[in-house]
Amino acid sequence: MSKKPNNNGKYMIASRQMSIIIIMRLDPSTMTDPNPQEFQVPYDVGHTVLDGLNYIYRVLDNSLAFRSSCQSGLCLVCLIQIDGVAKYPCKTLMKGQIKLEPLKNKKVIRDLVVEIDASEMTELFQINH
Amino acid sequence: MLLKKMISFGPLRTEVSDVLVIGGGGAGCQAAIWAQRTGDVSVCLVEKGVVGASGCTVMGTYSCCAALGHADQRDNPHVHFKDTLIGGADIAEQALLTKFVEDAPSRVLELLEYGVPFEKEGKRLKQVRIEGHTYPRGCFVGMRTGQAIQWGLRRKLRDIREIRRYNDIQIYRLLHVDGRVFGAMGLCRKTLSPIRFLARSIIIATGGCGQLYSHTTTSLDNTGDGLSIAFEAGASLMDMEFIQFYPISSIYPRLIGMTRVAPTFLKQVPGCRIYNRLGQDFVAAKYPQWQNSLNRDVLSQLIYREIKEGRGTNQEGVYIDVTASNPREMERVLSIGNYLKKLEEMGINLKTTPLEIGVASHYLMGGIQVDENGETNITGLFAAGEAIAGIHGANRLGGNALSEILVTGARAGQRAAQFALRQKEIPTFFPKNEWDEWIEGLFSRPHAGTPPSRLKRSLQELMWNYVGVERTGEDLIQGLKKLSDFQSALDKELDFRHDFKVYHMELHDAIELRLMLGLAKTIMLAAYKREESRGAHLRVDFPEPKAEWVTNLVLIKKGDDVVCVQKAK
Repeated sequence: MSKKPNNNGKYMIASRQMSIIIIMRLDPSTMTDPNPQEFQVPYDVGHTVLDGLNYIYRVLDNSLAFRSSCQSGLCLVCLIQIDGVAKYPCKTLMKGQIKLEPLKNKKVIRDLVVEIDASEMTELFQINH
Repeated sequence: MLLKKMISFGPLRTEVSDVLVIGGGGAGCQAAIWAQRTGDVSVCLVEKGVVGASGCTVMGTYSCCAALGHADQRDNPHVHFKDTLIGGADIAEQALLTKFVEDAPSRVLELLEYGVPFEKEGKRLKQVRIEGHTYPRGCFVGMRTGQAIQWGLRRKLRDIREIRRYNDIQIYRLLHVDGRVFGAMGLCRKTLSPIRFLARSIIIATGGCGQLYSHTTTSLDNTGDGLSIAFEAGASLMDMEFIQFYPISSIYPRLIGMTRVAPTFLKQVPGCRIYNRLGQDFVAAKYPQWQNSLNRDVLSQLIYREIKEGRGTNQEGVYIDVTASNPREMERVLSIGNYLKKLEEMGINLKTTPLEIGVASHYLMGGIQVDENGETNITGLFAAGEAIAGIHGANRLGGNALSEILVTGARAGQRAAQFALRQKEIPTFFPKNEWDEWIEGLFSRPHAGTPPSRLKRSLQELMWNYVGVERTGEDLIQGLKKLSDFQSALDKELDFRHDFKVYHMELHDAIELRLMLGLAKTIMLAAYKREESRGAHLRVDFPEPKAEWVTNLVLIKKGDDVVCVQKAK
């Protein structure tokens, strides 16, 4: 079993900060327009928007829907609109306030999940870089 | 298929094809391409995330090894065979390994036709030397080799009309009659309707099960689904005790947009140190030549022990440090894939800052027992990629995973297509089983304690603590007991969100959890049975390798029991 070492490693965990994450939520089976929902999410330096989404799912609201897979900026399935720009949550750092929407011009399945084909993703990637 | 009273589930959809491929990562795409090419057959390629994007292939950071002899003419498949066999502590399946080293060069060169931009020197591919390999044989595309290979395969896929791609389908069981498979049952995440795939042959290409551990470098999809459903259907698993733990996995600072194995590149810098909280160079003290001589298993075990004995950091890590290295040397070694520039953008200066690293589960050497054509003991069932056992033995050498998916995907695809062409009728009636009922019942179960995501976490911690890097007989007995308690408490414990919404993430977690549970016991049992230490399997109570254990352990499901026996000679 792993033992916890004494608390004098070189790095100290930075103090926690709060972020307000606004998610434009949509369930196409019951709604026509997306509904903004606000979440208060604590985070540390180096935490990403994907960490924030995972926090919301695990702690605040387990009905949230979003995609993620590799969590390291390679699979590109997590792509959404962050503050109006198409970005990868796993590569975007948390900040004080963030607005999240599903990817533009795509059929929304629910919340941040859209219908997507991998071959389009290569194009989206190239637009973004 | 599903109960009539569950009106909320959509109608059952049935898709029929000659070959069904489960898993849309590198091995799955390669298998689909080769199956279609071989017999001009129809193929369904099914993935729980996005075909050609999800999975671990994209995370293959650096090298794809094949004995091309481009960088050193002395290299050939025999040397590759020898290196891999020795690296895997002698217990690799030699028939599989032979085909792997023989086929790897052609499979890698074919990727050039698919537009994979391997780095070149003139007409030859650049090849780098990776630990454990005698000659330089790792082909690469910057620091995103796996992604480039995956993208190449998916470009190729897009042009083949006979391959139908299905995203967002969670397969949860195989349809089988009298030791033969004819299809698989799944649930569409986008519509919450059941979907049934009927096929003449099936290829499992769902990767390993890194997510069974709380510390892992793998993608979230890596939950061992295919292994679990194959095992449930009677397929035998082999070498399940051999889980590779990656020694240099990032802890702090977070390397945004890089995989967790990224700090490993520092090891190549002359003068690189690994030391504990007290500043002791515990690796160099034992192995002065560690930088280019230690395989992953040994280094992982050293680092794990250091942390376990309380000399780790407060985040359970140790340091990797190149601050004392010659800056020019560092820039030369780390010039690959804009590595230094990316770190600088994150505000990390390697000239002044060490990185904190730890050990994490990375790869499953074991998996479904297959022959050299990917054929399992179940008629009509094939497997490829990380999901199979045999090529790497007790420890995998760096760079052999990406070439493994290419070789085994192609071989299984070919054979599965040939098999499908010989078959005629597919039965269309399959009785409902307990799995279907369990899923239906999730939406009406009483609310109890714990959501599936948290139960998943508990299972991951249980595995990390009881069958992690270091194992003892005593821990494993306790672990098996805890696992069986976990299993029997699951139905009481599991809390589940009732609202019937598509892309129901709790449903994904619940199904994955149950599939993971089906696999967890095989790992523990095999680790308990193997009373020696070999490769990645370290039994603290039996620290030496033993001659009588140059063999493999095979696991079979008998009723509700798991039987673990030595492979027949």
